Amino acid sequence: MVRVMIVFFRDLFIFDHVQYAVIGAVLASLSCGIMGSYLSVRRITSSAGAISHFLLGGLAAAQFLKKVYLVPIPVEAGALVAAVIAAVIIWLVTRWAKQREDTVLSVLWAFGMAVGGIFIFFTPGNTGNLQFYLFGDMSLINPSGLAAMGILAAVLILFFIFFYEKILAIAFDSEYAALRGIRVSMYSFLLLLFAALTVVVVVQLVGIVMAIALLSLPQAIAATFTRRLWQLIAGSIILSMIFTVGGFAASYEPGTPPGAMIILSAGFFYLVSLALKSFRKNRRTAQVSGAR
Amino acid sequence: MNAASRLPLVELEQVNARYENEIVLENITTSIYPSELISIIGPNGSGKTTLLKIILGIIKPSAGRVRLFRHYNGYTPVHIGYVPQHILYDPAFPVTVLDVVLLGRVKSGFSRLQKKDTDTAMNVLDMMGMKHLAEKGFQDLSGGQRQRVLIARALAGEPVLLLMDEPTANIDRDAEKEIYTLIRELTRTMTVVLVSHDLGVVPKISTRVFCLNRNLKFHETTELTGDDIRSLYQETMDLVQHSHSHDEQDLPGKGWCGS
Repeated sequence: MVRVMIVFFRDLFIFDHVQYAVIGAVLASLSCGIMGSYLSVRRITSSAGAISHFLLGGLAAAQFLKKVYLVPIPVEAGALVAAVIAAVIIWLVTRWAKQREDTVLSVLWAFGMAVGGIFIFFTPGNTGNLQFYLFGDMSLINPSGLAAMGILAAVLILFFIFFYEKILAIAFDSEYAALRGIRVSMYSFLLLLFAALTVVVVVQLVGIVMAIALLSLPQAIAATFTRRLWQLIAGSIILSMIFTVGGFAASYEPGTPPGAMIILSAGFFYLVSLALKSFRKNRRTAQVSGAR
Repeated sequence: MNAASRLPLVELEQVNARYENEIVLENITTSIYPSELISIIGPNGSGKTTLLKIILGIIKPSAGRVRLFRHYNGYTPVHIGYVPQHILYDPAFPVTVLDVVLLGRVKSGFSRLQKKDTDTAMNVLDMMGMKHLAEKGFQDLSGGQRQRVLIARALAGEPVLLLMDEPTANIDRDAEKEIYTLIRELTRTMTVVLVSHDLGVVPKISTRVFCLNRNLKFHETTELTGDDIRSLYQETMDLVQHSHSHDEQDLPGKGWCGS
């Protein structure tokens, strides 16, 4: 373990791609700490799962255009387009057909995967890519990707600082927020769009399959020791940073997939937090019954 | 404090409402005047909540029209406070009591909460004897305390009209008493519309009683004196006590309000 850390820190100061990965992890943690908290308090984390799987269609389509028709676009562009489409569809459905939201999420989920599957089949030399799509690859993060992550994080931080009360109002009781004259539908759409863009970033770190974990596990842990939305956000950001940077560092020298290490560490700490929580609860009930 | 002005705050003209294809409210015409305490009673599914939501603008009537504050310049729908019966909130929602009360003052557009808003919210909590709970987690409160926090949220917006949907449902007797005392207190400064199942206390403290029934007819008990209300509700109470062992659904639709 010590050797693993020594190699990591040595290379951190030598290789650009290691630095990019660490900076990317920090920037992505800002976005997913914020948006994951919003999704969890609004209880719509499952939409992040649907969006992330829907992205496969966009990623694979972009890869197909690039390889077969030599269209000079980065695959991330395909993911961005897919993310926006997914956000629009989910928003329209929640707005106009409230009762069937979960069905549509499942459809998006499967449809994106199906489209992705078709494009991957028709793209030559595709097997390596599938691994990348599904599990992410932090070592592929480049400066332009970092710039995009930085812009998203900055926009989210400013948006949440400036509109914090409105977001809290909508998440807590959207009907009452509407009565106060807040444009719930517009905010919901913007936030859904931000969530979709955050998923694009998270997918680069941990891949399609595990994106939802990075948008929900830090929040689930932070929820055990926070009492206000901003505390939940701050706690989730810090935990995300620990898991992503830590997971990457721990997997660097052995060469294990960093995405998997990130989610494993997050999952482990989630279990620890659950154990601590029930321990604290038991002790409290023990004290109460002792007082009787 | 009786009605200085008899110009209505709210006017409903032949309002109909439907869910899907089911008619919930039919041909409702009435007005709500300043300083009233109106209670709306009726069996489950009689459209009580729908009527409140129509006044609030959450539900659009399928026919007819609702006019708010037509004679009162400067009042907007934001001047209506609302205490919902249920809120679909996450039981683990990370929010303090003060946060929830402040949500009653959140404004649209770019204006943000100021210190003045916090002061008002704290005053409301103080008035309701909950100042000491301000920093507590909302999820750590009892059902009755939560209900009072939701009332505080509505009051924090300094409403001229307060709509309450079964504020005493799911709380114990003592908390119920306190809430009724509070409601009477509130009618000194605002108009209150109260949806209730409680046929014992609520009609006694009300100035008018609206009876909504399953047949979607609307009986307005106009020009009632205190004695009228008492005699009307004596009958109703008898009726309820009489059928106490039955499910409320079994109450006859006709003559439900003793009419």
